[in-house]
Amino acid sequence: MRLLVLKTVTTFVAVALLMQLSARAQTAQGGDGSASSRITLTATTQSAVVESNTLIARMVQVGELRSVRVVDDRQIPGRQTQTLQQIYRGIPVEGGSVTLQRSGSTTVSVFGTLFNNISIDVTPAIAAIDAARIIEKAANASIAFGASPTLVVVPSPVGTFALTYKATVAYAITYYVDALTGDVVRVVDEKNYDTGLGTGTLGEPKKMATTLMGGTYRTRDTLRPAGISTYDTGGSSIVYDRLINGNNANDSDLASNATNTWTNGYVVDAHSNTGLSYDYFFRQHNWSGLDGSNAPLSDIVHSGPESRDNASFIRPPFGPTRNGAMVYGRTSGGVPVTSMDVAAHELMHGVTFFSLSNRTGSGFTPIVYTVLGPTSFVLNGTTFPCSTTGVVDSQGIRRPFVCSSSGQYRLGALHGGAINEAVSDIFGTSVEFFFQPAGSGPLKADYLMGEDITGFGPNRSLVDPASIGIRHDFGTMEYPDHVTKMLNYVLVASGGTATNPTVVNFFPIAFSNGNFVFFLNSGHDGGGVHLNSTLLSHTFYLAIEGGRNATSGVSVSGVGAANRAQIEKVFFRAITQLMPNNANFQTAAATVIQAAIDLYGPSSAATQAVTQAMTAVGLR
Amino acid sequence: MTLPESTICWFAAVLVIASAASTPTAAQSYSQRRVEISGNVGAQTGASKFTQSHSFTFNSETETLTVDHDVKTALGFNVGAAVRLVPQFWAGVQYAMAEMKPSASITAVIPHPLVFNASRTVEGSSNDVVHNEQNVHVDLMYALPVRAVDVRVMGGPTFFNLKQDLVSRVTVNESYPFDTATFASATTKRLSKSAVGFNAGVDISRPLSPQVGIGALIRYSRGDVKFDDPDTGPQTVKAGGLEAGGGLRIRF
Repeated sequence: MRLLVLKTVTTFVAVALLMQLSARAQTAQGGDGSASSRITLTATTQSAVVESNTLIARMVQVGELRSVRVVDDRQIPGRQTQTLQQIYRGIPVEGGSVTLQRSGSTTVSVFGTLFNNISIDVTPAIAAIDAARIIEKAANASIAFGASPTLVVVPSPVGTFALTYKATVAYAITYYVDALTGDVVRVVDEKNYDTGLGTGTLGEPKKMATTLMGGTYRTRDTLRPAGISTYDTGGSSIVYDRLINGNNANDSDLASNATNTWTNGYVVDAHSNTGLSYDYFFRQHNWSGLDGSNAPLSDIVHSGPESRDNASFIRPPFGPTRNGAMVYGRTSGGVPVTSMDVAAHELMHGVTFFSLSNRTGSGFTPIVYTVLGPTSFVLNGTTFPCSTTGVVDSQGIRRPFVCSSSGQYRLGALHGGAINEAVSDIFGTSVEFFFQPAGSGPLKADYLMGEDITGFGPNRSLVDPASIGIRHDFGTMEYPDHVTKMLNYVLVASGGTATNPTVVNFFPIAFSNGNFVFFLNSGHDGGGVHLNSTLLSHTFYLAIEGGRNATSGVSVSGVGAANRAQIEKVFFRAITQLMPNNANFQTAAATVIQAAIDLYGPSSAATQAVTQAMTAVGLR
Repeated sequence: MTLPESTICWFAAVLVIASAASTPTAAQSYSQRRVEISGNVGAQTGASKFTQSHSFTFNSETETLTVDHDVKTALGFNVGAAVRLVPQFWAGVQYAMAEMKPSASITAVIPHPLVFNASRTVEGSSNDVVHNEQNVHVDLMYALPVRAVDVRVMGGPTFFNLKQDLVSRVTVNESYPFDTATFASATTKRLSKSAVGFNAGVDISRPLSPQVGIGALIRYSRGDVKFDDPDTGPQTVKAGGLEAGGGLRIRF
């Protein structure tokens, strides 16, 4: 029996051959009292909503809550959100409000904070005009018109309340004056939201939404509703580990600058490109942040060895806020891997994870889809039949290759992972086209990935996948543009037998387009998740721009660049609304076509374009 | 307190007529006295409308404010003293004060906080923009040979002391994605500065007794007050204007 001893490939990614995965239950939050005087409402279940509604109705009836705004839901027709302000004896309570999501007369959810046990005299000892004089003297500026002092009840963190006058003066600084003593009790400087100016890696100006904390500007974007925090490990693996594992991330871990003019292109690109990606998903798809509901976003810039020549999305529950994180490394040459398409690619991984998880209970499940290959391969003049070949793993245990009963290699690929990478590339390029002019060269929108990163890209092409070479042990091969060229990997039976495995691992030898390709020096790419991604991402290009698939010769009539938004919406709907977490390429293709039918009708140009594109690459 | 502009001329005319209609019992001795103390109450209108332009960096781009300041007529008063140098010529000093609160129309072009070249334009207005003048007029007066009343034409330098509200910022109502904004309020900064200009006018008085008379004053003054505050930008404000009033004259 031949044994292929692994010396160069030391890392196996264990991939369980899953037959079924139970759905993970979503945890609904109920109300909680985080302080003796504070009621935090997070009612999402029917019973909690009923309880909240009872409280709200009672408070409205006695004048303790007053409706201030009703807004139509932009994502779901027929729904509205209503915000009610808490009132204490005719005076607004600062920070006391609730927002109800309504569907007709039915309340869907209630979120907000209310304060109870308020017991203060609401008769001010000083007049508003006196408060104005106090504020103007303290601020050395006049009060803005329309913002003359008004009475508000201000809660303190320890559960007490103060009757204050509130007014805003120059530079959006708000002063609170105790209405009994005349003391200035609080100053809120809102000008720290003044957007900073950054210089990106390529020298381009970027707006930096930052926050002034203790005299230092930090990369916390509070302008975008989700909030975006960009942490800088300073290259420390210890800090990186702490941030990734969600332990004790704090404000001092955020990137910082003495002024709001930023020259660290690494930080600037990561922070601003994540922000612009957020804007794209909001504007083009009405999707807010990672989960569509503004879960906080975290970037980590880490130049340490853990992220060398890479960027990645770490899924929840990891990351500084346990909502996952986009991690940006540097190339071996020190160039930040933070271009716009890369940032959007990583954020899209989060969108994919959250949308699948919220809809199906998990992200893509690691199901290995298999095909049968030849009975043997030849390496360096030696023939390795499947039935008699195996490997010795790093623990010294012999593992057989997975074979059919007839002795054929059973080959596999991780379709879900490749679909995941494909849609990230699709929206990486989409964000470029949304913000940059089309063209070639730096800071231009194109269908290449990572092309603006010197020494790194382009590393994939959606236009012509074959134009980018994949290095293997004996030369290069082309990225697949057709299903016949996708890479299926030799599988190792890490449990069970060669013909009846219970657990399989990928082995870095793939079968593609009728030939075995050896990646013993580079690895199995997790079952071809990046290498096979172009199979689907190429269809995105074809559906927009049209053209002829180089392998099949099938031509596609694209919708045209002017209508690219249609195809973007089709793919976005497919991944966020329709695709199952166990999809293979063929299922993915079907969801894309269905999404086009849903959005534009069965005979629409968009539907025709994606259908033709899927046919062109052999996915239907 | 402010008065409509048309009130000024009527006010002055009434005082002159009243002065002329008074009994000239002691006119001769009144006219020959050497020192006069006078006080007038009347109205003053601003010199002219002006446009304030201010640019500054906000959201990493240039925000521009354009503020059209209106003029308004307001109650004013002055007190002064004059000395006869020779029979036809007097020298005098007057302190005059008026405070106006005209409105201002504001247009602001506010940069988008997240992306370049997507500024929002908001429009609004502010009322009660203070324009306070406390001026000192130094005049050489020539007494015209008129018998029924004392008529003096005057002219000379004016030392203006102007307190002026200028708009420094606007606040807006906005929310993500910040594509639009609406005017919420304006913040002003009260600046104070002095400048030298000129004045010219006519004072008409009529004796009521050898020492006391009543009179009317019409004067036009003008001066350019140049502010250069970093919060409001460089701005020239025209001080002075048309002033009319009437009051007492006491001579010694």
